[in-house]
Amino acid sequence: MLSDRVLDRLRGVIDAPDLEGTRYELIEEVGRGGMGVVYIAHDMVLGRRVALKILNSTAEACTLASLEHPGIVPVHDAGSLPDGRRYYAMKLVQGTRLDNYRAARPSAADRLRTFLRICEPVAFAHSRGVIHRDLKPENVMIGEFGEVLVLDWGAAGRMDAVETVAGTAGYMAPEQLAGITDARTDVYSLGKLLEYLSVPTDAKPVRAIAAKASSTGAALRYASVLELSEDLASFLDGRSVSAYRESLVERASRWLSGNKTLAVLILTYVLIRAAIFFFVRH
Amino acid sequence: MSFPDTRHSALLRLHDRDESVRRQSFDAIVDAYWQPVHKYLRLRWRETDENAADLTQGFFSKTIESDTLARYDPAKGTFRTYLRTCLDHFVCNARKQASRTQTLPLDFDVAASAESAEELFHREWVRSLFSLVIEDLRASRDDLRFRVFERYDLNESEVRPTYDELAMEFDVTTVTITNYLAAMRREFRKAVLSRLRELTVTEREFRSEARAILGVDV
Repeated sequence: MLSDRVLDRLRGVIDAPDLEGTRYELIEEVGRGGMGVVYIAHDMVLGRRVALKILNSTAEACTLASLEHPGIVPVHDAGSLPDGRRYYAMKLVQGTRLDNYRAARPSAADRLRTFLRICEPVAFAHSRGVIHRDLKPENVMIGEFGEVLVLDWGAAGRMDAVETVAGTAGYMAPEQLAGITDARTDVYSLGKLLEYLSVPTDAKPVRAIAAKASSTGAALRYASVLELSEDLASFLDGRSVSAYRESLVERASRWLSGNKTLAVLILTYVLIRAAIFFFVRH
Repeated sequence: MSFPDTRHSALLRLHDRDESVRRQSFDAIVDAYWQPVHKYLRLRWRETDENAADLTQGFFSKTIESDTLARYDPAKGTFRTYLRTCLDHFVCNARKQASRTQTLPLDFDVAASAESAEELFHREWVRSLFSLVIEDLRASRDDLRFRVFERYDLNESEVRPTYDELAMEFDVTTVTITNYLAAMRREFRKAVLSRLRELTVTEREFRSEARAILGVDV
């Protein structure tokens, strides 16, 4: 009888895509999930490496192909394997996953700007009626040139459809368990991603934005990704944010840090006027 | 000699009027399930090797006697699950009878979940299926391609020879090794599907089992 080792090896062999008759040559497996397996393959026609995803339907490829955005990996080609499985080839993204990016301890401003760039393709997809439904650190890649790409749209669905349960625990909105999803489902996951990117020393408004986005009740969250990113952009621009009510001192301190030159000028003016007043009187 | 492309369902042929066809079909099913049943009895029911062999023999004899296999209804689940459930009942009954004359052993794993039992049986079934397919391939293809496949994919050691080493060993180019392995893997996959066809009844069951083993929609 076959040993466990050979059995596992044969299961791998049988699972590996047979690319006979396609323009691709298999190089290696790079990722495996509930929605499919991703391999690196060589495109023999164009002489370049691509990421090849093997799955059981072309729905994901069609969804992805309909989303042309710099933050979404472009689909090059799609087809069927001799064994009936479907595949699609996409750009092979070289870079760092969000979890590794965070481990490198970037500055707060860098982290928040990166987060805003994660929001962009998600908001774009929403404008096309598509929700990602599985946003998590493993599905975000920071490219070699700092570009941010949202990957793995295998769980994506139409905004107006009742979907099967999909997602990853810890990043999945509570209503997803009931198969109910809309734009706020991704807002929840983005809130969790912002929380993941935050550190305890981050400003209170940032933590409040993350908390609002990942509220358990969908009605308490931002209604859209755009609202969420606008609130965070307001913080980065030194303006107030809707998720956090500031005290008078915090408001004054924020105004001062955002208007340093003006504050110095006013202070100088006041001091000069006071000096003149004091000199004239005495 | 080439490997047969299409096998007909042995389970359907259990209903054939011809006694010899029924016998052949039963043998095909026993061939595929003997080892999984035996291993399942060893691991799940903690039987000794000797007892497991006796129980396996007894189980299959009982299935002929009571025509159990022919009563399988594909609408209620896969044949594999049906057979495992019958086996569990058979062992329970056998142990009940044994307890009238002797003390029941207390070390068998009653706490094991139904799911883990199913997984165990499934794994052993896949092992048996692959073993049968490899024997089919060995019998039909005593050529260089099979020997390369055997040296590489059926190699028991943790570290396998590289394609370059195989090329030197078989006195061919590395590209030839790549092509031989690709061809043999294709043939292996096809042969597994063919055997699977023999061990399932309906198209739906065949597709479901193919998905469970190969992860593919066929």
